[in-house]
Amino acid sequence: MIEVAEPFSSGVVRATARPKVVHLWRATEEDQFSVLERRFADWINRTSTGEDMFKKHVYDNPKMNFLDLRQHRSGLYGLLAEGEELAVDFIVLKAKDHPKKTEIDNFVIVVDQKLNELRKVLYAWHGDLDDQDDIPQSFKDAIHELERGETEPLDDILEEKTA
Amino acid sequence: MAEQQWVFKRTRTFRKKFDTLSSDQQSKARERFREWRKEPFSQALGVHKINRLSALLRRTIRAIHVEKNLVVTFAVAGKEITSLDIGTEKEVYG
Repeated sequence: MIEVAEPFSSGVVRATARPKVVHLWRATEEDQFSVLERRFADWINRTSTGEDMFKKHVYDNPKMNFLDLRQHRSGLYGLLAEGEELAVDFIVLKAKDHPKKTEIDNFVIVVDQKLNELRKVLYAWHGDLDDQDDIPQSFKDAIHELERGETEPLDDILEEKTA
Repeated sequence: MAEQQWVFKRTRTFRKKFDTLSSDQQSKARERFREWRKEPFSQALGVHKINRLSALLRRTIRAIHVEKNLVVTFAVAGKEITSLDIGTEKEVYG
């Protein structure tokens, strides 16, 4: 129970207001581990929903546009931030000598695995071209030539006769 | 779209890769390029966006098929269409 010095209801604080006792039943009756367990399940569900959305609107979308890409980044950033916060909260709970240390460690391992997957997606779709190991060097070279304006007419190829 | 509206260009990389193709592939590619010049975004040419490359570059990268497993990637800027790379899907997209 927590004592508050101000009226419980919102509105004008009256000078004669007496301290009231507020029962924060949710925070006190539910174990923090259970709260984190539920947050973990919600986050995993959201990553799964996110992956379905990314597939529909980005990976397999023939009409993908740059707003889709921005929303992809936004979705990934959100899931990454949420996952990192979840890991922090699990680690803090363990540091408070919570009895379920092994379970907490296992949750953190799974959160980290999922975070790694999300980071890889972010990097593969929104990182630097030159850092992508699976994109051929010839494509990277061509892009750099294009960026430097080092292009020539295609006509020479068209006008040549096949040997 | 009229043919003369577009300026077709290529990179040196594209030229180098083109020169490594077999004469049969080069011949097919030339034939395809002539059709391409008439209608650069024709569905008949199998023009499609490469989503991941477009995302990485923050500009649209498209491709056309010369034959089943021979593709040309290209970028459009204003009236310029620049051929970037040519090869199998694996060689071009990774």
